[in-house]
Amino acid sequence: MSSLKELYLALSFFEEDWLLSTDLQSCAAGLKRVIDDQKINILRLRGEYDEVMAQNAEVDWYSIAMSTKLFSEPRLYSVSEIKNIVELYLDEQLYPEHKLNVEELYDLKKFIIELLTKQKENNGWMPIEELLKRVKIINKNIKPYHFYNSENYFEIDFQIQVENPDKLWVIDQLRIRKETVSKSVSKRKGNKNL
Amino acid sequence: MANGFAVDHRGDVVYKITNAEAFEISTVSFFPNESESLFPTHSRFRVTQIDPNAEIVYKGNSYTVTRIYLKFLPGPIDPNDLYGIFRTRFLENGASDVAAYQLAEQTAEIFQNKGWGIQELTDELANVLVRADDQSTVILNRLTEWETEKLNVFLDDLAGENGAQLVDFFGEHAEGVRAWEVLINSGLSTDVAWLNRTSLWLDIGGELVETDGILWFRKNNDKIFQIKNQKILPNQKSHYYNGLDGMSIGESANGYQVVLVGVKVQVKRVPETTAFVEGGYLEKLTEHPHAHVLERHSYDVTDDALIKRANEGIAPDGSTLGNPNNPIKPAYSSKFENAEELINAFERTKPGTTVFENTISTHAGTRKSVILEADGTLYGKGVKKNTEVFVNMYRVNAKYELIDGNWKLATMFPIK
Repeated sequence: MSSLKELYLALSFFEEDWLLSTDLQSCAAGLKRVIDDQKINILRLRGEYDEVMAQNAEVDWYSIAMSTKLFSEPRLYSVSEIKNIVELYLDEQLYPEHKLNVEELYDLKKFIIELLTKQKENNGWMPIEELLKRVKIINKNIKPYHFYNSENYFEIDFQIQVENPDKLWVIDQLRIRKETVSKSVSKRKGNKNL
Repeated sequence: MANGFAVDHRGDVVYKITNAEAFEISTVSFFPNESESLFPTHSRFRVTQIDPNAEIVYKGNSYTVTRIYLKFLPGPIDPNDLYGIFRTRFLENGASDVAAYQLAEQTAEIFQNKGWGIQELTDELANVLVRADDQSTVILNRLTEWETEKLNVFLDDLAGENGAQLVDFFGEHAEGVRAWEVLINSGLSTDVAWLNRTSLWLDIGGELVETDGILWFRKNNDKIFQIKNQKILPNQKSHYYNGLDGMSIGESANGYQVVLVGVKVQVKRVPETTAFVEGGYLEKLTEHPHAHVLERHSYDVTDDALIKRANEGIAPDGSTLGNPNNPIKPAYSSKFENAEELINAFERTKPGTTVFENTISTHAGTRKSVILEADGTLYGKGVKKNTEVFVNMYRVNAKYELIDGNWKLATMFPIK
């Protein structure tokens, strides 16, 4: 694996402190400005990002989180959660085409509502990983962060179970509120930039 | 305490009772053949005492007594009698003959059914009804629904400190009585500005309902905001609005504006900015594309909005971090004490100050998190996460970002 210099640099810009004081939009805009100012080599960053995602199992995500001071308390998060948050932060910056468009959102929303409505086991709750596996049939670009920001993406009134409420964007299981089911699925609203 | 009018045997008012159960009249005819009742057809008054110094003059079939004490007796009155008295009342308050006739007829019927008497038709209420003109039926319809206790509160409010303003308001906005009713336990029912905005909220199909001691504004059973400690406090994240569209419904209050967005009623944070205009501070505080010092930390953020953030993770402007159904709560949710200290904090952390220049930049030289250490100034207060306890804050954190070659303030807030 390469030195991951650009990736470390980009993640050091995450600055949880700024995130908590401002918001995700502000942090994303800050990273974009750094990329636009060419303080980060986006080509190299893409390469390193693709590399760690491809070699996920071999990546020491804790080490990355500690070195880049991604969180004040990295031990609050599991390996997969750290990876998911890195994806949330970088994926659409590096690959704007990964943003879901209106049509994709419409199909996904319809599919998710149907899926969760039919979920009978586990009192209607479905683990995120399981949901992802099924949803990828419709769209392979769907990632956990889309659910962390469900309000921005799907406008679905999910009920969400979290293991630790202090975690950033980390959710374990989803189910849909009953009243949401009766609402029609609309194409009215498109994706919002984060 | 009784309010009303002493009337003579013809039904003419001879003395206005304001705040005495037993009261004095100056001169009145006394009919010895009609027992002790001075007003046989208006039996709500009876003689309780004749002043020992009274001059009693016999005039054929009656006596004239110069001083007499009467006792007010609650109880039903014949509607025919009420009608005559009420008509006089309305005429005295500027009603035309026709209006006085109609109002007296309607009011007498309602009062008779309710068991109310002439003392309940105070000058103020008569004035409101006369001025409401053809909208008076709105008020009269509400009266038919009220218990005596509620009417008495209404009459007390009309005669109280803000009475003149209330009479003007209800005279112009008969529908405002509905607003008065729903605000009755909020401490805001005599505040014309609140009556006005509440009226407009009700006009768009909303309702104010007290549930478990909380006064909620709801529409289609959706609880949109509550009125807590006489201030607006939005409910869930979905009830906040941050867009530019939307029609304002009523004037803003405590930094929140109720807006109608399509058919949805939402609440928008509208910080008070007047204090920051002079000196160009408003521009400095808002020039960062994601600036929110005023939205989330300004002095007009309510205590309850901070407590909400500390316990639910919903910031005063409705923003959240993380999962919107389970937002992250900051360690402290804080606000500045007043506009002066906010400006003071900016002046002491802005680019060019020693503390700013000594702060090491991060984010490839594009960010600075400037900490203004305690110097004895109380900058503000904050609530610790998951508590409702405020602590005073003597330090400030100001976050600047270099955008287009200029350091711009992203946010600034008091810290512990």
